[in-house]
This record gives sequence, structure tokens and C-alpha cells, in this order.
Amino acid sequence: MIPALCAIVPILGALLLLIPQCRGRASAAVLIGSSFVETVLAGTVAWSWTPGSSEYLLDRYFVVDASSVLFLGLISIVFFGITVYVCHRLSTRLMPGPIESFVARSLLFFATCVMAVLCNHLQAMWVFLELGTLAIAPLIFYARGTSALKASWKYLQFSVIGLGFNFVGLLCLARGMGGAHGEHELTFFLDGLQQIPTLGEPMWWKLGLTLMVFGLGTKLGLAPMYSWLPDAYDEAPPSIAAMLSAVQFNCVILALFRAVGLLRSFDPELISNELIAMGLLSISVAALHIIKSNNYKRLIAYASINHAGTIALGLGVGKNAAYGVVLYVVSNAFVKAVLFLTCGNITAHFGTNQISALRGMIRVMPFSALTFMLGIFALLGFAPFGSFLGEVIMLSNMVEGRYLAIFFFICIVLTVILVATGRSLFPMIWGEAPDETAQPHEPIWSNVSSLLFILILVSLGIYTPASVTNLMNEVAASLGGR
Amino acid sequence: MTNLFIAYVAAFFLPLLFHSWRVAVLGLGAQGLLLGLILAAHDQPMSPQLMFEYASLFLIRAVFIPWCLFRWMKGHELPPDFSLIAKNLIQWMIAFLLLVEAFVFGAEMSPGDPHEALQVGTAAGSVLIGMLVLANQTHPLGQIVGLFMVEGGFTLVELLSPHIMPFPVAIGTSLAVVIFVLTCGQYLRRLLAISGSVAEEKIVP
Repeated sequence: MIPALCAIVPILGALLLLIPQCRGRASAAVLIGSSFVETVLAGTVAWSWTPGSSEYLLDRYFVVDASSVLFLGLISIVFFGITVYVCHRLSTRLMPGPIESFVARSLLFFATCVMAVLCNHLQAMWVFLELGTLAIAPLIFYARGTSALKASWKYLQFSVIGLGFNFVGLLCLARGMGGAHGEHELTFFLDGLQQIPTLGEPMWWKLGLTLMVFGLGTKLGLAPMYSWLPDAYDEAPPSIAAMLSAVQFNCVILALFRAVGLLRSFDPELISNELIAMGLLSISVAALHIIKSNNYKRLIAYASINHAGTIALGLGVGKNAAYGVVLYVVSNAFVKAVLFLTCGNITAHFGTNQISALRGMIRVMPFSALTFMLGIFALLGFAPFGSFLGEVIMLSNMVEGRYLAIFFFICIVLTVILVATGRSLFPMIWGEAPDETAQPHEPIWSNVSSLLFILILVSLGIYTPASVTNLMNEVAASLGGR
Repeated sequence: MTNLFIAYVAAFFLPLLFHSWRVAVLGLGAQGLLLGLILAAHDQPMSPQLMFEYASLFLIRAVFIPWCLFRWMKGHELPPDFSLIAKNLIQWMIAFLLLVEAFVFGAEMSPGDPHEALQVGTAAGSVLIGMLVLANQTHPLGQIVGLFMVEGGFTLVELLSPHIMPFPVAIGTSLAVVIFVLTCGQYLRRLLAISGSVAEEKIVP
């Protein structure tokens, strides 16, 4: 019952906006209220879940297992933080345009994400990801100009094509499993697929697998289908960029986890090479773009491609790197939310995204500068953040698994990214301010969610409660790791 | 059945040779109609799911999509030389080679089943030609036509599977298609408005 409520609450929130009294400025209360209730419900689901169990709901279409509990909690916390930020923006009238449509679309988008996370049926999961894409795409150009509209249209095209390839991949996989000749009853229920004795005809399931990974890779912004990502993240309002990069990204990652976990039960080495190739290409492309970027929001968008590449690489290496991948994915959601929300504060104050136009931020916007700096440290994989630990686990497993050439390549590229990012962004924070007489002027309220996320990031790197560690271990085990 | 696949290939390939957006949109309607007929040729026992799938193909793909596109384009005259791919021999050769490659791929995937090979080849051809249109187009209408060509190919692969989608999933899929069409309309109107204002800016000194 409670997991079903998790999906219903945001939809009810969106429906509340049909009542005239809930429109206008009251819609901010609906948004934050819905996300708060959602977070409490997600916490209750996690609390009442028995480790190692899978509880099925609504004719087995939905499941509460380790993966859904972890990702439901993750996206609920991140979404709550984003809504706190949005409410601050609304209270300071920094957000123009019709608020109701923004709130309604955000809530419907989140409802589809919750359902995608809880879904036990691969085709139904596809439907929810598609509906989520359609709900959020128009928000990319919310109260923005022509370039945002074009970026949004590009996002929509790439997403629809990517998800379409994923859908066809599923059908090819089913065809390969022998369904076309009636050897056994076909199913797209995850638990049903785990019962199938063999993957069947190699030509079909290899094609299906390739299309699935290519399709989900497109949605994650992995090279070669990444060109929508920097445009969409750069042009979107900061809260929407955070929703795309920290909420939707994790729903797609879960879809990839489900597919990889399922297929690796047949062959542990399956799609390793494809994931490693896509990961290496993405990291290289991201590094080249980061070197020449003069726009801090775009730079973070390229760092997102780098993150997606690192995750793909970790999944490709497999085995014990799986725990590192899970930790990295969880940390990454908070890192991107911190950075995009802080970018929103910076752009609202200075009115530019250009790195060269900004100096000495720490004197004018001390809280935002601090969260931005800590976010950048986490982005670059510094201790004591969770992203550091995740990266170290993945790298050490590359050495253990004798992926030495990849290990050295990654070390070189990560060093290049570290130097390029530091050289570009740190003068923004510490450099000499053009106007030395400027007084610090910034309410801490605008950074509450970012500070909360940073605390969680530090906790992920230093100490996580045993229940959270066990949960992540269980998700890692489903990927074939320990 | 073979004739239906030949007709489907004609429905997505011939609009490339006509320089008219109306032919391109009518081609989409013809593809939807043929998808419905291909499903009917499978001779599956009648069930609510199958009825829903017929409705989805005949009403949404064959009627709703072209009707919406014609309606949205009302009052927006496209350049007279509008074409889905660039009008030159190289592009036409690329389109033809992609089609040949698609059928070779179909034969590779199903060596012992000519009927399935034809269906896979047709679907792959529709996806590849749709991608070629997307790669060529800068106009939003052309991009939408390209997207629906690719989607048509995906639907043809779906018809290949004897697995009938569970009813709730089929409803969800059709709902996603309808919302996608309406969202495309929202974008088309806005993007056409931008291109109109750009044209005006060029006219005004």
C-alpha cells in the first residue's frame, strides 16, 4: 500500500492544482508538501522492507526490492531538495512564468520516475521513462528563449530515439529467447525472465542487448549519442537541470542495472566490452570538452558525461567494482544536484554563465561559493566524499581484474579533467573580485538543500549506517558483484 | 503479406523523391494503415488486446498523426523546394544503399524464414531511412516525419513478436504515442513561430 502511495502522492499534488485556491503562489506549497510526504513515504518503505526480500504489487507490475528501495529513497531526497530550492526561488520572485504548469509537470514527471523505479515489467518501465521524458521536456524551455526551445527539442528527439532503440532491443531479446517459435511463454516481468533457462538464439539476443545498451546510453548521455546533454543541461532552468541529471538519470541507470543484472545471470562477462568502449569514449569526449569550456554550467554538463562514462566503465569491469559503481551512482546524484542548484544561484546573481566574467565569488556570495567549491571537490572525486570512495573501489578493481591499460588511461584522463576543471573554476571562487567594495549579500536559505546534500556526500565517504551499506551491497550483488 | 511489405517500403521511400511536405505526411498515414493491415494478416485470434492494437494502429497512426500534422501546418507555407533529404544523386544513392543493406541484414537475421527476413528488412529500412531524414533535416516538420518513420520501423519489429503486450502496458504505450504527438505539435508551433520571426527580421532592414 505505501509503495503505491509513493506514486499516487505526486499525481494527487498535480491534480490539486486544478482547484483555483491551490493555484498561483499556493502551488509552491503543493509542490513542497507533496515532495515532503513523498520523502516520508519513501523512508517508510525503506524502514518496513526486509533485507533480501522482494514484495510484488498490482499483479506483479511493481516490486519492492533492494534496487527499488535504494533508488526510491535517492530520488525522493534529491527531489525534495530541489523543491526546497524552487520554493525559495518562487518566494524571491526569481522564477517568472506560469507557476502551476511548472509545478504540475514537475510532479507528474516525478510520479513517472517513482513508477519506473518500482516497476517489475521491462516494457512498462519503458512506458514510464517515455512519459517522464514527455513531462519534463517542455520545462527545459520554461520561461526561456529560442536556444532553450531548440535544446529541448533536441533532447526530446534523442530521448525518443534512444528509448525506441531500447524498446526494440527488448523485443529482439524476447525473439532470441525462442518466443517466436513458441518454445515457452514469453514474459517481460523481471522475475519471470530470471526463470528462463537460456537466452536462445545468439544473433537475436546479441542484437537486442546492443540496442538496449545503445538506447539507454543515449538517454544517459554516453558517447556517441551525447550531444543533446550539454545543450539541455546548459539551457534548462537549474532545478530542471538537477531533475534531469539527478532524478531521471538515476531512473535510467536503474533500468540499465536491471538489464545488466538479468543478463549477467546467464553470462557474467556479457556486454563488458561494449560498456567499457562506451565508457572510455565518453570520458575522452568529456575531457576534451572540459578543457575548452568557458561556461561553468556547460562544464558541469560535460562532467556529467564523464560520470556516465565512469559508471559504464565500472559496470563493464564488473565483479567487485559493482559496489563502487553503486556508491558512485548514489554520490553522483547529490553532486550534480548541488552543482546545478548552486549554478542557479550564481547565474541569478551575476547574470552570466561565462567563467571568464566571474572572479572572487567567495566575497560576494559566501554560501554559494562554499557549496560550489565543495561540490567541485566531490565532482573531481576528492576525499572525504562518497564519489571518492566509489572511484577508488572501481579503480582498485580495474587493477585486480588486470585492466591495467584502462586503469592508466583513466588515471591520465582524470588528471587532465582535474587540472582543466580546477584551472577554470577555482579563480571564479578565489580570484580577485572586480569590485572589492562589494558586500556579501546572500540568504543561507538559498543553499539549504545544497548543504544537506553535501552532508550526505560526506557521510557516504566517511560513515554510512549498516542498513544503507547492506542495501548498496545487495544492489551490487544483483549486478554480479559483492 | 509480401505485397504489404512492398507497399510499406514504398510508403516510406517514395516521399523522399517528392518535394512536398503533404506527400511526406500522407506517407506517414499510409505507413500507419499498412501496419494495421500487416497485423490483420497475422490471423491472430480476436481478443480485447488485439482490438486495442488495431485501434491504436488505424486510428492513431493512420488518421490522428497525419490529421494533426495537416492541422498544425495550416497557414504555414513551407519552402516550395521542401524535401525530406537533400536533392542530389549522392543522397538518393545513400538512401538506396541503406535500403539494400537493411534487407541484407534481414536475411542475415532470419536465414531460414524468408517471411521474417522480409519483415526485419522492412523494419530496418524504415529505421535507417528515418535516421537519414533526421540527419538531413533542419525543419521541425521534416524532423517529425523522420521521427515517425523511425517509430514506424520500431512498431513493425513489435508486430514481429507473437507476444501480445499485457493490456495495461498496451494502453500505456498508446498513451505515450498520443502524448508524444501532441508534444510534437507544441514544439512545431513554437519552432515555426521562431522561423517566422527570423524571416521577418531578415525582411525588415
